[in-house]
Amino acid sequence: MKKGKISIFRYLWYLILGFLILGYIIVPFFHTFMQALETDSGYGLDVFREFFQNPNQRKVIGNTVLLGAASVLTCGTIGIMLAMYMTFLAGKWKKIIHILLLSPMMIPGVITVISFIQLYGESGILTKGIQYLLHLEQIPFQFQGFGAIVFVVTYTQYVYFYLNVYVAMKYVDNSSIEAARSMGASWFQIFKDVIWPVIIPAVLSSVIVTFASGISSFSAPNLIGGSFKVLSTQIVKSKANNHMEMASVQVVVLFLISMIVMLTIQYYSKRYGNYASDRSTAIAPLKGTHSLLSFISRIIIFIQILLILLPIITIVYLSFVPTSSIMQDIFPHTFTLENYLMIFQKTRVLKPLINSLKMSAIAVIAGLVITVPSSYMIVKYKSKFHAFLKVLLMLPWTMPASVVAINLINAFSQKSIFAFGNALIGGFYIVPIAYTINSIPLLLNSNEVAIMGLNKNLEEASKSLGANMAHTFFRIIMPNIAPGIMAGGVLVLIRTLGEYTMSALLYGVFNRPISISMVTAMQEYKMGLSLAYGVIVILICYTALGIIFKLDKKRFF
Amino acid sequence: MSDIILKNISHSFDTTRVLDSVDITIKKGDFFTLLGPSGCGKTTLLRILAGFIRPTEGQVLIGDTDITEWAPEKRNMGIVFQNYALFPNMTVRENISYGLKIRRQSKAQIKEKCDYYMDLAGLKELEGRRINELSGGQQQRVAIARALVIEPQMLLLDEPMSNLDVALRVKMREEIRAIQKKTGITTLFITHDQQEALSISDQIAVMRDGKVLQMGAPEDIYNHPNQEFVANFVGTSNIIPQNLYEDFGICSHTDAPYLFVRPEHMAISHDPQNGIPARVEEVKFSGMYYEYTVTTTDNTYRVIEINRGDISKIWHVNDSCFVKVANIDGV
Repeated sequence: MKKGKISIFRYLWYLILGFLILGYIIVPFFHTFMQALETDSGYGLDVFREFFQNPNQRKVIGNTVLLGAASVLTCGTIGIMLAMYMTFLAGKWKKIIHILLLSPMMIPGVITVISFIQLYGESGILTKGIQYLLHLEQIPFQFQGFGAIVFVVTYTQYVYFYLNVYVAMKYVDNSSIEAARSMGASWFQIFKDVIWPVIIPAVLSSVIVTFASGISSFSAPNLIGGSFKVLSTQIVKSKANNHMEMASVQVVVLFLISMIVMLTIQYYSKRYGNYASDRSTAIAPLKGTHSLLSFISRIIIFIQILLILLPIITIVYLSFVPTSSIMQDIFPHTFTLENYLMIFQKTRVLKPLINSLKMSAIAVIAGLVITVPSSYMIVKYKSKFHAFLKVLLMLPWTMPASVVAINLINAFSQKSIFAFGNALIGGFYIVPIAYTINSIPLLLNSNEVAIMGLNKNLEEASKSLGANMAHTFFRIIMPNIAPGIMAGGVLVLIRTLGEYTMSALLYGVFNRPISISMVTAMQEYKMGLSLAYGVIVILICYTALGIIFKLDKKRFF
Repeated sequence: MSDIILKNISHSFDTTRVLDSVDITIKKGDFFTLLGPSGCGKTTLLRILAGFIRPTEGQVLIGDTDITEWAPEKRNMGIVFQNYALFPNMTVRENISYGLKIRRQSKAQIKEKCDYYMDLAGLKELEGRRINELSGGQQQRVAIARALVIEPQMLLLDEPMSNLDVALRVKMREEIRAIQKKTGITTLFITHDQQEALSISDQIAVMRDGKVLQMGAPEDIYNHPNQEFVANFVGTSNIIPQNLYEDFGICSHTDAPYLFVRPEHMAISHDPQNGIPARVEEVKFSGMYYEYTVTTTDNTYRVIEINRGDISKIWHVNDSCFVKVANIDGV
């Protein structure tokens, strides 16, 4: 009897999941695909032909791939070096440096770009400062184009490489390193033969994530790209021009690039086994080494920390300066609370912040409601069906943000059965829906880590003591996996709070998010307001960061 | 409470057969041990009894009641897991009272029973502690108290000592036995440690490759192993083939092709009567006894002699001697 009841709930759950996956992931993508094939006279490859025959568009594809590859290269170099530095050389400041190095992950990209513009842009503090000091007639550098984008992407995205490799380094057995050293291996040989085989899975998964965020990055190319155009900016442009067929073609191309690279790397990463040793002795930091390598890495870490701190200091500093002073003075020195007062005194100005908080909260809650039971079943029942379910739920991982957004536009600009006969575009919920779709893979991963860390016998112990499934789940399983799951939720909150790409494509009058308001405020020369928004978001993000570190120490330290 | 009967149990994971027609009856109040090397199927058998696995064939009975299809939470069996599986989000008292709360017992009842079992397991001072603040031995006691407090039909112990150090193992197995005797609960104990099995059990079943090889009281198993594997898994044995029975003075009242003789049942001396000429190959001193390895022309024997502090009776490597069976009745 009992068994039957449980099965009914499970099948109901699969039904709901199937409905959501079909309605919000698969069918929308299908819409995009059909849209891309739409011509004046039925269906065909006309738009694709138009796209590929245009040399400018071909250049855009090249640029996109180039940006992805460059991001991997720079982020990989810096991230791995930092991880090595932290493992072998970092001393007493280790913990603080570690938190600082992770913090770019916690600042929404659009804020980073805005603060970089204030620092290195045409009238940025650093640019003007150098010009003033050296008495130059023109500004010393143009913070624009490919170099500038790569700079921003490197600064923000190295964290994946750094964190993954840093964690993987814990599985490198110090005894093997010592054994290699005693046999006379050089540090380069040790890296190649002892360390590299262990960290390569972490490196490859970082390559995927970094490449994906490189090719889908939007705020940097949009705000400082100049004439360097990539697919994600072109998609938004096509959409703004109401050329949805072209936007759809671009989305399909971007999706294919992302897909091909991911599958290739996944294929190669399968060929590497897991060399991590179970009982590894921890690597102790080396003391008193003054090799060239350690000198270089010390300099890199110093620059990196400076790069992390400068924009934050700048943005906080300038948020207390009246806009007129930001525009005129090189080093503004009149201070005011006016920017903040404006936000909290006018509901119209406060609204975007409230909107963003609401929409992110909805995304976190909806995401957790969908993923927690799913992850639990995926981990518990290792059947082919559940593996397939996981593949379906991970699909958004292969979709850059602009792809998700365009898919939703194509599917929900008219009434849809999946929205119970409503058209969602232009409404409030379309943005949180996009956030949720985008967050599901991240949540699945963090849930899975938390659930797999759970002692399997706990569930059996609870049952043997007489508890039913529901009681066991809420009283035993949930409290023990909650920290890891909450950490994932907080990470999603941070990522969606300042989300710019999907927001730009999907927002309407009712749900204008804070990222959009920041950019428009800047474009309307209300710098002060834009920066004050930024500071508030950073503040919320750092509070959240503190919570994550408290909840999920194991994963970050 | 009644006897627990495992009737003709077979189980396969995919195509691998891990249990093969196992028949075991555990008498009410007995301390029953499943002894075998890892991978012999003993944990699978325990999990079938607990209800986590449904056997491919066979029945699990309590008295006359068939419980094969019952869910684990309906079986009322107390389980102590190898890693204890204590709930890390609860204190010692909360862990122990968990099963009672599920049974919706009154607060007073819960308190009374918890107190009794915490007292029994020596946990009184630790009731407010979190699990990660306990030592291995303390965790084990909490696990046992948690399993017992629900007054189960049966207590199932899945290698509960394997995470403890040697000294603590001996102490804990005595404690477990004492608690079991005091509560009179039918207990199934799983171990791969023969010493542990012999000293704690009423009945032992020796398992290998999913089959029960021999079942009986510890003395039976040790003194009369029915096959070579049992003889060597439970202690060590010398094998005497049939053609040497006469040389050793063993009356041929048996048709068995060979006999197992424990090292402590053999002796070495200068007396050729009922002995075979041999040479001492190795001498190991273990404090309480000497262990000799001696070789004859076609065999090697192990002999144990108690250390009686008499230097003149000690043998040395390369000494010539005669090896014989000391207690012919004991074979």
